[in-house]
Amino acid sequence: MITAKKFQHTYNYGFIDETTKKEIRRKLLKAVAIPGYQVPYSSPEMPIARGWGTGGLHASLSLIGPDDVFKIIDQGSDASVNACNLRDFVKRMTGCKTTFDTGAATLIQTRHRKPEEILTERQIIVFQVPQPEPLRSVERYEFKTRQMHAEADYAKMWVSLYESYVKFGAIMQAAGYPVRVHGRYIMTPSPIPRWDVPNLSMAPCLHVFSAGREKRLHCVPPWTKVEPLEFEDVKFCVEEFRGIVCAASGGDRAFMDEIYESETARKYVMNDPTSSTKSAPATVRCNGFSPIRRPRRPRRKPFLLP
Amino acid sequence: MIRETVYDEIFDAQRHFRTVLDSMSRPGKINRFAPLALTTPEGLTRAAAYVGFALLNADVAAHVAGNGAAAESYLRTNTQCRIESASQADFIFLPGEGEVTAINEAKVGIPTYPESGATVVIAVNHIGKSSSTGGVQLTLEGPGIETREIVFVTGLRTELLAALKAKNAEFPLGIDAMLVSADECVICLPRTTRVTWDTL
Amino acid sequence: MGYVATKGGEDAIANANQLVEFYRVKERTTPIEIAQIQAQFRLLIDKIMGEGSLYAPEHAALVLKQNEGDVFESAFMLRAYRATLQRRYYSETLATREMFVRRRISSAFREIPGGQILGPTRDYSQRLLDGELAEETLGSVEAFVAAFEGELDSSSLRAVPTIGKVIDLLTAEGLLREANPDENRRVVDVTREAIKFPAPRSAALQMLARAETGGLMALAYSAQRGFGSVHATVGELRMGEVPVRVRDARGRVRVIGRVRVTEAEMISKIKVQKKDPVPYLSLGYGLCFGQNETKAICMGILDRAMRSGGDAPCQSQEFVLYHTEGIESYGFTNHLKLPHYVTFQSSLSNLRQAVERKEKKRGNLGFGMAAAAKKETSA
Repeated sequence: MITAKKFQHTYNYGFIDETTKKEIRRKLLKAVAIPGYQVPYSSPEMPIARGWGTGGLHASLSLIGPDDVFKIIDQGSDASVNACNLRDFVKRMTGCKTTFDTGAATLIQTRHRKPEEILTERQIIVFQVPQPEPLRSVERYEFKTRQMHAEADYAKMWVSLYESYVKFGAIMQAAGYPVRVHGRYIMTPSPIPRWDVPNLSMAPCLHVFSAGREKRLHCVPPWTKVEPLEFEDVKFCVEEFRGIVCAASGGDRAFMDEIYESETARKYVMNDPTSSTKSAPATVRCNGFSPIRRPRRPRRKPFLLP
Repeated sequence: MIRETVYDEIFDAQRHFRTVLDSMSRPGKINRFAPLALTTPEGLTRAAAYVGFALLNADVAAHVAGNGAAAESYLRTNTQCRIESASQADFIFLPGEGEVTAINEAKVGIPTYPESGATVVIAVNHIGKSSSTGGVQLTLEGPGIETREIVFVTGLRTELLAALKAKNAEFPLGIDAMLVSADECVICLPRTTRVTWDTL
Repeated sequence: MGYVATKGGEDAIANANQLVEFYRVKERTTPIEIAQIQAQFRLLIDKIMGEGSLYAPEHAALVLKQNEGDVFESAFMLRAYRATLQRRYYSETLATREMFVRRRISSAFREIPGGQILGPTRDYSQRLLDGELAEETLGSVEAFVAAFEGELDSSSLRAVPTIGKVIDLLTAEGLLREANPDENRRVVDVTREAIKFPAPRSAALQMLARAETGGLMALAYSAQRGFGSVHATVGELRMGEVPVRVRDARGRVRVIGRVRVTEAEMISKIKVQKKDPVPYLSLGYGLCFGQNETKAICMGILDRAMRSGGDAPCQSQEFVLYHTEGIESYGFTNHLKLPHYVTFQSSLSNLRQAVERKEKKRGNLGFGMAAAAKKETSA
């Protein structure tokens, strides 16, 4: 069966070859040392499509070891089809333990949400990033945005936010709200809702952001200031869920998903199923927010399927 | 020159990398490397070798300051790294009691690509949470530190700390340091850390 | 309900994979052989080998079969497979002057040393459907091949020399010169380090060689039509096999095999600087795996365009190289199928508040979220 042998393949632990892992690891260390700065990396192809999580996988598979417990979510959901596919891939390539329980995980890969539960110093969260360049909407050329970051020349971004306010009465940037990290680099937190942005600042855990297609890594270390861009008189505020409660749990202090059961019946449920009103962080009010989120000990509750 | 056979390129590298990453993410937090029976030559401690084995390969250049020929040969044999002068190297290994020259010459990166600044691995005697006879008290503040971290280090000349501080005067340019001890502990001082020191 | 709300994500995927396999074989036709795809879809193989950046005809045939002929998925799969392969060597520079030429033409001159060799091309065929192919049998194929080979007069075959290049004639006359003598000639490998802009020419050519043929075609066409001024002539287009050499552990140079490539040397006039009034010609270069002339020609046009300055899309390195990258563009355009409801909800929140603000301003309090919430609670 010569033909069959030719196409057979065994895979390295974590799929990625050790040379590439080393490169990613070196770049991660530099990204931690320069908070919010986008480090270019080789970003080799994966058996998952570009734009579907290759960057997240690069980071996770370079970090992961036999002792890790891996959790992966998409739009906050462990059961989302793409999260299932990526989880299966990581499990196949590492034999690692996986979990749906945020508190039990040591390594969390996420697309576009940070879990409501406060992550600890034992946890690393890897964000999948479609567009790592926060200035891309105001400047289309990479060589120019790189120069802007080098010189901390962010005028174009500020003008764009101001113009949004003038037109609509508020800064209309929704998910992926631009932030300033350690007082220096403007960074995109990936398209997480504004709800999750205050949770990035002065957090106990390490945040890794990886954009596979665009080939960039950036990090927010623990205990680092992350400040959403705002004006003195026009402040950052999170999404409003005024008068809305979760149809499943009755809670009202978490990011909500809007669900259409039929053309007329609409309801809301909490996006992060492992959170509840008890363990939710302090309510963040519109038109003002406390930049210091007091970290709480996460409740290690058994994971209950709703 | 010894070609190590006890080192697992997959799992030891991953484990040691996670140790370094945790240290770099939390400057001043003292971590201990999982020990391995490496036979390191003159000029390279085991902990420094762990860093080298975990992070060096043919794509980067190393430099061992001081009496470094044997150590450079060892690193090259085991990682295929290039060997360069201090001003060209991506990783510089030096003793905590040695000269500052290598640090002064280390590259700090350029404004568009500050990550090309070097990583400096300094071999000290001991790192601990309580003061010992002699040594230096380091007070650390900045990203990765909730309020303030205090560590006590012996076998480290304060001239090296001053040289590091000078190199890191213009963020984001700078170099990132790792202190590795004889008993295989490590702390990291990324360029964002504000370091003040007192000799004891 | 939706494919997210249910906990059956894994089941859904398993079922989808099974279903796709069912679609592939449900007609119960004779399974197609790898060898058949390789032999009879040669040009398709060549296209996806180039875009997959892996010269492996059998593997290309396999992925085409696996993906029911989807060319984007197939090129993608080859790339992903390539990423798992160990890098043992970098080859020595291919010497295309050593090519065993199967086809070779020049539009720049009527007759050229070595001759215009039309070779295997459909360029001058009439694109009329051939119904007889529906009745083709192994017997009819064998008869044709036997007849064809029978017509060859072995006594009149000469040893095929390697053929010199047309551009050498122009260079000798001093008419063909480097476009930018100060250009960055560093050789980089974009698969090992992310491309940085402005990119050295080696990086640009490497990305063009891996680029999606249709993307290159669209942008090269735009250059021809006035979005950027590249008026190029085919100095030479050649297709054939070249030897591949590597250095072994002892430093000896060894031939490890031959690959078929298509090479295009596109000639155009350089915009003259005011200081230097003597005009000259320069080269736009294209090289890709297999027989893919469209790609090689478009590579040459875009190589020239990107080095000519100006603000047309085809003249921007970033625009051309980022957006002709087939695997990345395929992934990202299709990624819109992923759930985006959290990001969308975030926008909805903003939008509803903005509408409410506007309506409040107009004195209309019956609109917006507050009113909707009121309606729901009272319902």
